Amino acid sequence: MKNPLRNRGLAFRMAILIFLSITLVLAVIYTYMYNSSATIIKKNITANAENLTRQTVSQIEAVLLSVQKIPSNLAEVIMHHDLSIEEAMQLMQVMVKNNSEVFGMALAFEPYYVKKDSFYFSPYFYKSGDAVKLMYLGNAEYNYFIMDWYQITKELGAPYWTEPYFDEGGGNILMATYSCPVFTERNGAKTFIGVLTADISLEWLHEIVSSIKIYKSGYAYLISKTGKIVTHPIKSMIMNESIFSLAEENNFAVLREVGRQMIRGKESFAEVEYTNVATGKKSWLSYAPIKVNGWSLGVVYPVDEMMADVNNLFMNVFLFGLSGTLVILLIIVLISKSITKPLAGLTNAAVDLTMGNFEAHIPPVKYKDEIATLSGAFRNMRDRLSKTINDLRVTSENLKESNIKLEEYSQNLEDKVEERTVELKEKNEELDKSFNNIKTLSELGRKITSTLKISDIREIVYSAVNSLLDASVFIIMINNEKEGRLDCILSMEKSQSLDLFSVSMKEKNRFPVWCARHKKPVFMNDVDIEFIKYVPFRAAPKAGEYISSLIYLPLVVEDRLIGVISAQSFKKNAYSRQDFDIFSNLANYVAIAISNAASYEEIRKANKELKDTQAQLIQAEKMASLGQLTAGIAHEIKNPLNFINNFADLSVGLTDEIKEEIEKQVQRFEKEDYEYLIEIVGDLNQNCKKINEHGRRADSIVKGMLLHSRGKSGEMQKTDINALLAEYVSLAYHGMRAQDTSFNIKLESDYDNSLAPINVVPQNISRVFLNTVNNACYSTHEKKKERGDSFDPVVKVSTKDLGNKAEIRIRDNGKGISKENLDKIFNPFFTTKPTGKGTGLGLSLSFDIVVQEHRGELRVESTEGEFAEFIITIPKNL
Amino acid sequence: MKVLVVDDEIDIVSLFKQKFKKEINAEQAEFYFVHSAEEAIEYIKGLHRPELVLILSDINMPGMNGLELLKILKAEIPRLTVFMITAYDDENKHRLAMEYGADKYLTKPIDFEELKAAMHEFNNANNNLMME
Repeated sequence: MKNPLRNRGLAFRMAILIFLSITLVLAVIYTYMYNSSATIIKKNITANAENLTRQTVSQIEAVLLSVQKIPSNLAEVIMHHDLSIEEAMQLMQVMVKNNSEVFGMALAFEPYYVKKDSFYFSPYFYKSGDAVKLMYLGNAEYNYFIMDWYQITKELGAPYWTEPYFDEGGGNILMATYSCPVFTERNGAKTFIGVLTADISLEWLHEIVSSIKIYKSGYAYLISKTGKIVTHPIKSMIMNESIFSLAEENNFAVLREVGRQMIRGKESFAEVEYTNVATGKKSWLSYAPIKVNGWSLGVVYPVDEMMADVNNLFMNVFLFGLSGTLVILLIIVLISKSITKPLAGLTNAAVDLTMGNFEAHIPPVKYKDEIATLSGAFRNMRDRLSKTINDLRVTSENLKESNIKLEEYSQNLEDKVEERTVELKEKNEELDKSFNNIKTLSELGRKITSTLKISDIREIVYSAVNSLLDASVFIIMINNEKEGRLDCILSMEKSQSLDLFSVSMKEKNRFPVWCARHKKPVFMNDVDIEFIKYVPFRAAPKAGEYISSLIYLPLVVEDRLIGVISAQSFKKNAYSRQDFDIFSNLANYVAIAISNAASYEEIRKANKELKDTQAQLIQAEKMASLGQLTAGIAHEIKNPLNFINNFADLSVGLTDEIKEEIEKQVQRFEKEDYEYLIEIVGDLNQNCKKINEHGRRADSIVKGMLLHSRGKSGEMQKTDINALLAEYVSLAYHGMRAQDTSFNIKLESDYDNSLAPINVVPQNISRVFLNTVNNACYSTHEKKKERGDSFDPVVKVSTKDLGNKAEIRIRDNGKGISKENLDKIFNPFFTTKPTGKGTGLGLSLSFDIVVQEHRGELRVESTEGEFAEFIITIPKNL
Repeated sequence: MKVLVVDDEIDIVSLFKQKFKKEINAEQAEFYFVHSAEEAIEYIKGLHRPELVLILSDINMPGMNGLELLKILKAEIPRLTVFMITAYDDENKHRLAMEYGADKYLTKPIDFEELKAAMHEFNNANNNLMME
């Protein structure tokens, strides 16, 4: 949908929008004010109506009460003072005359009370104009005994207000009567003798009620106990209509309900909406009972008149609001015009400018506001634009001139080209030289990268470097990552080899360290001046003299620092850029070659380790199969040994028996024969003992062999290695002492307390400890025996936590192990102890336990005559 | 005391006879020798009260070995006393022999002092048996 505002001017849109907003706000305020004012006014009216109604009611009640008093008092007087009829009648006449509210009074007696022959006797005084007239009521047409005012009073024996009625008996007017019963008192007994009445004229009541003014068309009315209309502005309705008949005729259900409430004596001041019977306008109704005689007063309020003030007020407010809005509209229009008018001027000027008119008129500005700023800026823009276009025109002319000059230069250029061509030729020759260098370099590269020995690389590089550049000093250093330093592997100064040195990576002020740390070259042609670019001060040279020019290049392979290489000269400005590049290339080759050599070295080492491991494995395997074999052999040997030992033992006994027998029969032999026999038997006995002894030895060897072949003889369990070692060291020591009292050594220990218990087979590991410590003790004891007091035998045991392994060292300063024996000591049956002292199975068995059972290592380090150290390592994750 | 020695080595007869010469001469012990497990079973079967005989058996024998013999004998006559005497002193055989109900497990070379002590023990128990 098209917005109708979109195509209008700024002023129009602004005016309309502001106007609509203000109108909306005013409408809201107005509506709110009207509603709240109407409520307040209504409340006031209701309160007024209430007061008015009550006032009227009390006015009427005052009149009625004063009327009531007259017959009441007179009846009392008649009863107590025994007034004569005449006296009573005189009083009645005076009372009617003096009381304006009383229309008339009657004193009606019971039949034949006053005169024996007179059925009726009832004097009645009433107003007629200004006079008071007397007449006697009661005849055939007017039998007062059956009239309400008489009959009902008599029946009740109490005063009574009659319904309004048209009195035909005397006054011939509409009236209501107040009747009092009249008694005589004789000897304390009250006797009803008649009725005393006072009448009020409805005409007179009507005047009182209609005197109540309620606005212009409002009015009040009275209804009787039965709803009959007693007073009303429409006179024809008095006594002819009741509130209910009116409700029926006009079909006012509300009025019927109001009637009911009224005759019940209720009162209400609510807004009963009720159409005025007299005017037909919408009205409210309030009503209140007249308690004296049971009648009810109704008051009708015309709504339009009540609300007239309110409506007037709002009309005025609306008119003020409207005129105010119009004034605001006018002001808005004026303000909008004041803004849009200069804008329109600027717009026109802009259109002019785009057409190329730089003299466009820019409207003057009256105020120093935003428009003024805009206008000023616009003016500036116009002026600059006009200047710029002028400049352009001038530049365009200059350009033309330049073109001409350019042609001249072009001519010159051709001359210069020829000059340059000559220069180029010279450069070409230099290039040839470079090419030769590169050729040398690439040959060198091929040579050194195919070399795997660092010493060869060193020689090849040094022999080549002098043909490429001045290398009065030439250094190659290798990055020793482990120690955090650079190790010099070649240092030449003036063809002389200098002492090799190392530079710690922490010495940050040294050029090689700077080069290594940054992996960047150091290049200076005047070190005295330029050093500051790299280090804060010059450190003294590690070797040789101070130099003047130098190049340090990092040797880097795959981002890994291999080392640094350096060429240095005692001359200033020794190296050109070209030299630097050549040296860089050389450095690349050297880096690769050294890296290769290092890798080769590593592989060689790894290979050696592999071979060692393999050898160890083969040894272990050999041991295993040997073990099985020995087990079989051992058993087979044990059977014959059984006989050898036991028969030899028996034979010892037998030779003893022979000896006894010979000694018994000594007399049967020649002395010489006897001695000879005894000697033979003695030898035989000795031989049998030897057979038994060596049989036992064989048995102990076999037992040792069998230990090898035992399969799983124990369970792994967490064991405190320190405690176990200590226990067996002490066991071995005391064992040795028990055998030889001269045995005495110094025991030293160094247990690593951080070593937590590890999984081992304790009975087997303890056998290893026992064997090795025994050997150590034996070796030191032997040495002591050889050397005597000058020697202090020491056995030292220590443990160490290596992280994933535990290390146990058993070291003695005994006889040591010779080189040729070092390889054999773990072989079964190998022993250096004298025959009979060792089985040669102790270390072999220990090796089995450590290597096979515990997957550890058992190594020995020794120098003959100095020391022997057994090193056991056991992995923790068993 | 009656002792049955089961061993395939013939020399065992001479060894035992010499070692127990005193006991045999004093008629404190009677030795019987068989050279295979099968023979031993036959011999035992022929006895009236086999439980009064002490059986000393080797393990490693051609044919049925000593452990099988032990198993069979103990299964049939639980009150029989059997000592195993063998060159095998490994744990497996030792465990098996005990499982099958061997009363002693002795190793070769035989320590006769030890054997005699064990036999003496048996003899005391045997005297009680003979009372039954």
